[in-house]
Amino acid sequence: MGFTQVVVLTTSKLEEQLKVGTLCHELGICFLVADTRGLVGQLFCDFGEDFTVQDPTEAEPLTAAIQHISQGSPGILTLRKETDDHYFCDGDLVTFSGIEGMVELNGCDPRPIRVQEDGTLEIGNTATFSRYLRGGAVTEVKRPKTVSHKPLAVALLQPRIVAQSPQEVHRAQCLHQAFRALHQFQHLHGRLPKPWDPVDAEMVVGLARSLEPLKGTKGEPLDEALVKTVALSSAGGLSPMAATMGAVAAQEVLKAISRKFMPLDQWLYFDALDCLPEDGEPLPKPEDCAPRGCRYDGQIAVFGAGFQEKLSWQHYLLVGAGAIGCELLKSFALVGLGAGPSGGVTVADMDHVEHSNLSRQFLFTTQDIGRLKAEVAAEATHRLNSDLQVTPLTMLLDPTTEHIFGDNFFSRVDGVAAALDSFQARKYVAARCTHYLKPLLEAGTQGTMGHASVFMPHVTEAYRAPTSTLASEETTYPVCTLRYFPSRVEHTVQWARNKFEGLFCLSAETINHNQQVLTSLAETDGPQVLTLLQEVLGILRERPQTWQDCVLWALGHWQLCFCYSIMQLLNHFPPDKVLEDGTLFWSGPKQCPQPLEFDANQDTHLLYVLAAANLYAQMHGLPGSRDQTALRGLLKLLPLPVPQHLAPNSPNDLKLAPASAEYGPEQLKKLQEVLEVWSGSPPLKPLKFEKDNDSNFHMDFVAAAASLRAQNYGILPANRSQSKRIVGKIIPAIATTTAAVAGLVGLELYKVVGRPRPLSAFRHCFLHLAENRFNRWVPFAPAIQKFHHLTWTCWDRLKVPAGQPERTLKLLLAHLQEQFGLRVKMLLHGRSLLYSAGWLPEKQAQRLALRVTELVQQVTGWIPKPGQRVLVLELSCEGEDEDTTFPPLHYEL
Amino acid sequence: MVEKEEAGGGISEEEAAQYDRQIRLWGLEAQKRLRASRVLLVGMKGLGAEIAKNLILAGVKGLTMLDPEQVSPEDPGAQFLVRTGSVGRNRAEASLERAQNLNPMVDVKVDIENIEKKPESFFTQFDAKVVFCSIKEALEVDWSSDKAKAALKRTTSDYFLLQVLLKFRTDKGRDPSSDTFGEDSELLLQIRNDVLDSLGVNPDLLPEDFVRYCFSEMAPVCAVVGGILAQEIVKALSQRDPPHNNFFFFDGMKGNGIVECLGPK
Repeated sequence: MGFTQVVVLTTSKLEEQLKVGTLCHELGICFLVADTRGLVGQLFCDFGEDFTVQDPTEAEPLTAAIQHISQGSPGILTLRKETDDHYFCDGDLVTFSGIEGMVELNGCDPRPIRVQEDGTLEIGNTATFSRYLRGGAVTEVKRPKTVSHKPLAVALLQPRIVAQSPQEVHRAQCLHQAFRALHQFQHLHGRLPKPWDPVDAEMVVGLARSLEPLKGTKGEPLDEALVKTVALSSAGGLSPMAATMGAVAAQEVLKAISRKFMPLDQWLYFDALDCLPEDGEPLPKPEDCAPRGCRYDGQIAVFGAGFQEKLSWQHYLLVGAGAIGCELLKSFALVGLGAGPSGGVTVADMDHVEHSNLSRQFLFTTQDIGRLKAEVAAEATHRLNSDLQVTPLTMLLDPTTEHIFGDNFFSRVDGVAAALDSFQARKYVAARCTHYLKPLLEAGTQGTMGHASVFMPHVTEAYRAPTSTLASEETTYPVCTLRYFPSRVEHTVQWARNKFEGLFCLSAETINHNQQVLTSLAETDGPQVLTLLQEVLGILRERPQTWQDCVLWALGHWQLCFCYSIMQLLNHFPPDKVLEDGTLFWSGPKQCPQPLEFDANQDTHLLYVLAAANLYAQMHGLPGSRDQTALRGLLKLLPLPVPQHLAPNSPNDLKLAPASAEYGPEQLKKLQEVLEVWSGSPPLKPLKFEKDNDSNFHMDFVAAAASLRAQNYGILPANRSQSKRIVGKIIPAIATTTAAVAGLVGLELYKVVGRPRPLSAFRHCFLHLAENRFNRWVPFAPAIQKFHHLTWTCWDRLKVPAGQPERTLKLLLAHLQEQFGLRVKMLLHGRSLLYSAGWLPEKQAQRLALRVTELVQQVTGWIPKPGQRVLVLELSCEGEDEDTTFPPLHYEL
Repeated sequence: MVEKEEAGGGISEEEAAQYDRQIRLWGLEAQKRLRASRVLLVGMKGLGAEIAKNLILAGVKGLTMLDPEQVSPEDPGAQFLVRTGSVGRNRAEASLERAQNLNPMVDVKVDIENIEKKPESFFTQFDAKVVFCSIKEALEVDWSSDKAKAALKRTTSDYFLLQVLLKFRTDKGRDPSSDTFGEDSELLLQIRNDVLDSLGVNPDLLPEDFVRYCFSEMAPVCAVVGGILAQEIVKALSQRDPPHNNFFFFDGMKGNGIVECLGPK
């Protein structure tokens, strides 16, 4: 027998809600009501009088490395300088770990802090504690919060409604009354109002008017027009509304169970009445919206049969069949987008289904793991609506596939939906949409945060990738930071990942390559390979024959990385080394490392050797071993490798710049000799890093290596799953957020497909389910640029037909001046300069005489792609301002 | 390694792999609580289908989809769990297959009765009693204190019935049985006297006729089950701080449920 913690009522009558709600409140069962009526959604939560939220926020507890702690009352804690601006606040509770000296603080009960003006932290009395020596981290302790909810019977008349602004509060109160009136209507007439029936709608307004007023409101008058609109469209059932409200409701259920994140307090109203025609535009007619006994009746009730037909003619391109992609395909199938004979959906994705996809990408099942997402998704979508033809294309949209996603392809596409996971990819797809003047719907999530955006040619601004995010996607760390001066856990993980690549992948590839070719080393691919060979062969002089050989190698490598190289570094830069300006060398972001001493009884040490030895064995095609006890025993017998045997080429001088050492003939000869050892042997097996297989030792190696490295440098180590997140740049994700943003995209789709809508109809959306934030706002209009008498936006272009016979550059320039009043200073194709007014007259004359396509061909080697209809050129003109960007010149072939 | 230890805490490797992205969001503890809890979802139109999908994907322990109605022609417009051609079938039943396929690790059930026709006991068999003290603590209340005496007036006799039945179970290793009615009745009465006496409470609080409920089909089962359930819930949900001690009692004779707050406050 099970027990229920949560009861959710949907499409339920008010009496039923009250009865079950009262009972649940008494029994302490978390109770939710979720409902949608046409374009309005309602959600109610009652988690009881005394509900404790264990962890009200999404963020990980703050943590930072400690520089110093004074003995005193209060004790003052100084954070390490390189700690990025910390976000500790007065009153935060903290605890400590890994401190040497003042060990009384390690694992202590939560202590409140006060943040001083200079950024140091007061941590209470430390006068009686031991003196602080070094190391350690301070970590925030999150505090539970308690919320108290009223039962439905009370909350119905005295609603606490989540709203983002004061204007929204009143609107939400009116929607609250509208729902009550609809319940009454249903109670009185035994049915819901008929679609767009003015009589029924007036009755609902009348019922709303005579409702007992809500307690605790400012007594603002009821917005009767709003209630009427709700009533007129209330017969509808729309899948995007169900997706959005279903996601929020499910998240609240998850909050009730997990006690994570603040629950809704207590009502939420969400409306997308902006999908309906603007004031003054004709409204749908009752006869066009009457039920037809078909699957689209719920949608026809809101938008009419004519609109349904328009939907079915569409051809859409969906880029990405991941989590959001799956949700969008479901949405397309349900709304009937492209379900007509001439419509369709093309889905482009080149990924394969993985296990961790299954918790959100609900079109895939365990049996599909390893299959191509686009294909599985297309089949699954077809099962949801057999009228919808979904064409899978298993490739990316990028500059290399423009022969497929080119002029012909886009001429058949009405709009594009982007469900992508990088800003680079979005930026590219958005640029294509701008080029082809196609509407773009776009969404993304991160944890419980999500956004959905709509970009409509000529109406809204075009997509712009956030520049800061674009940069951060390609975070790389300076080589010397990784090699010698790590100060953050990310540095140690990246270092470990690089080690993996060098030791188990590149090394094997290099040796395999050199076996096959075995030519002069001097001809190989430059210093990189040589550095690599040097590193690899240094430790890999002998071919391992047994498991014990592999263990010995792994142990040696442990010594080299975590003991010997650190000692060597400290030889060059002793801990007390002072720079010319009098400051300590090891200060600021340079944390002075300490060598570690191997101890098989320490888990991290053992796990490193275990992982490294197994990987080494895999690479050589030898059997490995998982027996930790046996390994521990073996390690106690093995002699610790001597440093001289480890590093064949001790660098004479430790260079802190990226390695670009010169290799003399002597060194090359040495390397060649060592390589000989490997010739004639079977090829090595390079290991391709795979973070998601937990039994392959890959992540084990990276996690252990990063952890040891962190110990060397007194950095708070990451655990295995943090390491995995850093290595894989994995973004946390949950089905609810995904479903919500897909629902929001679906609502914008209604606007994109119907008759042309003004800017005020469209909405960008942002939501944060953990914090109950739901923002929708009207996008910006496209920025207008001016030059003399010309005005244009990012959606405009200068169209010039190539002409028959084709025009020369001279004629083109003349045309631009005549037609647009533009005196061209420079003309470019991509990055190639085709013409410049600054050139010598002879060169100009030579170019001007060429036909435009000839010119482009000659300068850039361009060949027209099959079906290419437009050649895009860019120009700058005399008299332009610095920030003028002229529209692209579309030279029509 | 750390993860393996964590995995030992109750999340299987398969779960860890499947829920990886969301465990990253809210941690292993939350995921464990999730997979220890049941949800009753009433209404399986489009909105219900969406909620069901999201909860099943997230990995709750069990979900009961309740809907007494039949699939209507317009349902497939938002209800993606019913197959085409299901018009006329019960909506919850028609949703079961696809719902279950979303995640085989979740126990998905169907109920086709009207929620309004459900007796109160329906919710109690699905109990949701958040029991926040250990059962031992709750059972060790000192009823002779003044504070407890005041509470006593509000305390259902079922609490003491539970005590008696649990003691019977402890002593005899079984529940009272009608096969041994005479013997068990006497023992129950004796246990009542001992238990209530040891609690410092007048034995009359549990009138002698309580014995006859102990052999009926429902009452002992429910009372004991209530206790066992409570222990289950304690296991799953005892993270509250400070603990609040709620007991839920289901009375098979009266057909109602009562919440009690017992234990140290």
